[in-house]
This record gives sequence, structure tokens and C-alpha cells, in this order.
Amino acid sequence: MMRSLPQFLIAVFLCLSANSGRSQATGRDAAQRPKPRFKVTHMKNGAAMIPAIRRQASTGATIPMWNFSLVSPFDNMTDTGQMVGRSPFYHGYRAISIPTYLIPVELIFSDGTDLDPTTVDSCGGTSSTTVSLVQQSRIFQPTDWIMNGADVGTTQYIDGFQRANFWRDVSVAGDRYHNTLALKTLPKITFNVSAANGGSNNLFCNQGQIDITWWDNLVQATILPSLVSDGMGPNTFALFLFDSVELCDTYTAGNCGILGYHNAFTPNNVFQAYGIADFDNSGTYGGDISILSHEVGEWMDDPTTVNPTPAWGNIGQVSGCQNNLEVGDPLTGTYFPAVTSGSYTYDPQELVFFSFFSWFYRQSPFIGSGGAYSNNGTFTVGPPSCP
Amino acid sequence: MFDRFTMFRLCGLMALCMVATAAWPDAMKGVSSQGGKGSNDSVNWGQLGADVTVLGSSVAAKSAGGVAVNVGFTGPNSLAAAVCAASPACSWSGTGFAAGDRIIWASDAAAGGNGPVTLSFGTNVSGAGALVQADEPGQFTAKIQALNGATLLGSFTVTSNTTWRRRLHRHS
Repeated sequence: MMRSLPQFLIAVFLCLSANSGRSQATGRDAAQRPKPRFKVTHMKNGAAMIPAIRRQASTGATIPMWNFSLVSPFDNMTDTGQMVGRSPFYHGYRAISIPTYLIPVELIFSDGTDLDPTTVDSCGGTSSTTVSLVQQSRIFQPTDWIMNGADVGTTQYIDGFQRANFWRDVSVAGDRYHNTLALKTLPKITFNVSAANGGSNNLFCNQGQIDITWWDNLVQATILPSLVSDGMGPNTFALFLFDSVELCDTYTAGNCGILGYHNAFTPNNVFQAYGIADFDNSGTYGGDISILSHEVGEWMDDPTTVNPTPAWGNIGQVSGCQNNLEVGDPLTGTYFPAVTSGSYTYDPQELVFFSFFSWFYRQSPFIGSGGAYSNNGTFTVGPPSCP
Repeated sequence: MFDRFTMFRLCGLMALCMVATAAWPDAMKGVSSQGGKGSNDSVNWGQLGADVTVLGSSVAAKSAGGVAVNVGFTGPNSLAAAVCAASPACSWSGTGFAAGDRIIWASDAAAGGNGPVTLSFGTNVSGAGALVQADEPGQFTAKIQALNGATLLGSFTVTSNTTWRRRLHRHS
């Protein structure tokens, strides 16, 4: 009897854990979870296409983008790039809205596992569909944001981040600078995933894995062209939503853990940006809209995927050095204070300020809100030396 | 005399200064300072509406002295704007104009261009001018043309200063 008691206690503990796993997953309650990562992609011929993309943006042939150029005070290199929207440094009214098409992706695996964002995922512990949770999240719905002590206004999360990013310049015009997402949800698209391109597991709860090369080729060659009749095109931002599906650099090698990425290409030589984000109901990673906020934020500040920065790294998800403007990667797994909407509590990810004289450039004064390097004050100093 | 006044590359246009007169030769002379113009009348664009009022392809205004001024664009959706900081709202930020100034922006929220701007006066005026600023950084060249009906009286250009603002005046 005495020897069986610990086993009984263990059994009780496991049952409780299983029950709590069916409540809403949070980003903070599972230090043992694997760490998510996000794929850094670069559009093909991106640098060579920039002059054409700039012309397309200025003539309205693609989404609005503004151009920046600065001499880095860190390494004296001249960095030029593009961001979504209108420039925070321009004089005039600068509020725009980007048509954003949310595309739920149902993936059916060879073992019959069906991960569909348009249905209620029993692993998620809510009665709402994943796509409904995303639609009602602060990625698309406005709320009043306080970032580093500054009230940056009532708006969507990424717009609030971008306002905070350039707070010194946009705050003077009050509510006149915005880059919001105009949401349109398309009907779901469904794909069967062959055993060569993906599989499923039940490590925490139902979860899938797919090969990123297979998927990205599918997006560019098949999916986006097929959505033109729905209004998809260069003037829209395509945002694909997975339910508990991670991507793998090579599926057969098991190199997974990629929960999202953003990319672009130039069908018919015109710029088209898109992003992919997982909503993890499985509890494997948690973080609900953290992936969406990560990818949409990175798209906002690096839509062409080739914006340069001085080398940075050895922080967040990044081991080694990189020199691209990815405002999410340095803070992967770090959350902005949770936001509750209805009965659901969301965990947007904290993002890094780019604003000139920023974290990436390791210099003060900061022009972001609160004088910090990120929108919840986690970064107060620049990145470690790199390499 | 002339009754039409056209500007190219016009992005922000502050209060218009005018010189009304009864008789003046049909000859054009550029003046590059507000003081040199000797204005005796002006138009306050605040009469077009609050900050970020969307304008049609043409709008009617009136100078302080009662001269009717019709403002024409190449399309709708230009904006009347207030220069920051100003209460209750403003949208034109940065240096150059004075806080509280009222301007016309020959553009729209999508940054589409609605220039050139054409100003047509209801009565004869001997000169007119404006402060001009571009929306985006970088030097620009502004061009002014003066017409009497369809007859071009002359034109001149001026390059902006480094704060992207240039006074443009025309005197006949």
C-alpha cells in the first residue's frame, strides 16, 4: 500500500494536468514546452526587384509602402528599405487601411487527423472556432494600447506597435497616423498532406507538421493564383491561418518548430506579400495570437523581406548573427501583457522597435514610446555584439 | 491682368496672399518673398472645413477682402488640413509652417496626387502667392503659371529650401 501511494498521486496529477490542458492554452504556463521559431525567408530576386517594387508602391499597383534610407551610426553603412503604409516622417495625413485576406487552411493528414481552423478545436478549451478567435483578436479589433507608458491610441495591435515605434513623430498629429488591417475572411482552403510532406502527433494534443518548401511552393504556384477571383492581388496582404500545424525545414529530417513566416514574390512582376501563422491549440507551444502578431509585425516593417540592419543576434530565437529587419525574432516567446476579449485571453508577442536610432542601431535617443527599444520595455539596451 | 493661377508639384499650400487692383499691365514678374509682394488680401483655407476635410474636384472660397476664389484639382479627395500642433485636431506635422496654419493638401490619404492646383479669381487681381511645402522629404521644384483666361502670361520655377518649404509669389 505504501509503495502504491506515490503512483496514485502521480495518476491524480496527470489527470489534473490533462484537464488543465483543455482549458485555454496560455503562453506562460509551460516552461517545458519546446521553443517556437520563425522562419526568415527572403523573396526571390528581392534586392534586384526593389526599384520596381518602389515604383509599384508609389503608383498604387501594390500595397502602400514608404522608403527609408539612413547611414547606420553603428557601422557607417547606408541602409535602405521599405515599410508598409505611409511614412511617419511625412507631413500630411497618414492613415491608411490595408486589405488583409485571412485564409483558413484545413490540413488533412494521411492518418486522418484533420486540423481545421473553421471548426472548434477540442484541444483549445473554448467553444469558438480558431478563425473566430483570430477575427475577434486585437490583431484585427481595436483596443486602447498603452505601450511603455504612452497611450498610443485605440487601434489594432500592430498599428499600435507601429505608432509606438515612431511615437516621437506621429504623436504630434494625434490620431492622424495609422496603418490598419481591413479584414476579409475568405472561405477555407483544404489540402490533403501526403506522408512525404507532413504528419501528425498527439504529444500534447492533436498537432500537425508540414514541410515548408512543399507549402511555400503551393502558396505561390497554386493557392494565391487561385484566389484572384476572390479579390486577392498585389493590393492585398494574404494571411494564411493554421490550426496547430508547425512547419519543418525538411519534414523527413524532423527539423520542425517553425510556427510562421512572411514572404513575398512577384507574380507577373508585381509585388505580392503574404504571411503564414499557426494558432496553437495543441498546447505544444501555446501563445495563441503571438505568432500572428510576430508575423504581421515583421511584414509591416519588412514587407520585401530584404530590409537590412547592422548584424545582430545571439538573442531570442536567433543563434548566431543575422542582419535583417525582423522585429519579432529577438523577442520570440516574450509576450505583451495579455489582452482579454470576451472570455478569451490573448497573448500578443512583444516586438522590437526599429525606429531610427533604435535597438538595431544601438543608439540613443530613442524615438519610440517611453524611450525603450521594444513595445513593452523588455529591451532597454541594444543587442549583444555580433559576431 | 490675369484671372487664373496655376501651381505644379503643389503639396501643401498655406494661406494665399493676394494683391487686388483695378488696372495692371499683362506682364509677369516673380517675387520670392512674402514681404516683397506687398499683399493686401489673403485667403484662409480654414473656411474649407476642419482638419482632414475631404475636398471635391473644386471648392469655392473667399478672401478676407471678399474676392471669390475657386480652387480646382485634377480629381477629388484632396484634404484641408491644420498644421500641428493645433486644437482640436491637426494632421500636417513637422517643421516649416506655423502651428495652427490652415493648408490645402493636393493629395489624399493614399498619397495620390491631385496637382496641379488651379486658383481662379472672381475679380481681377494683380498678384498672388503662397507658401508651398512637399509632403515628403527632399528638395522639390515648384512651378507657377499665370494665365489670363486661356492665355499664358508667363511662368517661373523655384527650388525649395532644405526644410522643403518655398514661398511662391507672382506679381504682374
